[in-house]
Amino acid sequence: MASELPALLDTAVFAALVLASGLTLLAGYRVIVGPTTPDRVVALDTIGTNVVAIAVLYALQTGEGLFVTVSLVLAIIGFVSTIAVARFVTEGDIIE
Amino acid sequence: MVAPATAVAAALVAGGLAFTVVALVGLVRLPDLYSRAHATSKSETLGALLALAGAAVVFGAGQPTLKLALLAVFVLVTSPTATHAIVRSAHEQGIEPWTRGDGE
Repeated sequence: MASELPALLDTAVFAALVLASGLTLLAGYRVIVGPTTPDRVVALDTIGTNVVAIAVLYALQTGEGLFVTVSLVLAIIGFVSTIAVARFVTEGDIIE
Repeated sequence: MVAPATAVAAALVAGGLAFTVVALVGLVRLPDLYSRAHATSKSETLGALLALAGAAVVFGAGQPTLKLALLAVFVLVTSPTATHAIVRSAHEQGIEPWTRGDGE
């Protein structure tokens, strides 16, 4: 268990967390502006994958393996929601 | 002196971040849905996978690494599948791909 990170890695992971958060906000621009619904869904899917990466980096920074489980659940929810929206766009209904 | 595992993990995390930057530039700058999905589905998946690999190097053998491997397989399978599904639904909805010469 890595509870005490080396100084270099600690700095790198912190910088990566800040940069990844900024990039996730940038994807929010496409969610707001994106002219069509599928545009917004692609951007939201990107945000979901980004948040998975952020949760893993946070697990790295805190040394808690628990946050890996959090990102696993986030990945599953993101996949199911994207498939649900894709079905909703085509069929106009999710469950027949 | 930097330990090899530390250097490898830092390089993996930095590489993952670089691919995420590429994906986000594509998402914001490219002209239509299909090119945006094309840019994000692959780069974003690879960026997340490299970050997961960096975390796996630091955590070493154990339960977190097992979960990280599971997560890596899941992301590798589902992320392109989800993008494919949403792009196919957009195509069936009748959204036209962008071509050079549009919008002039």
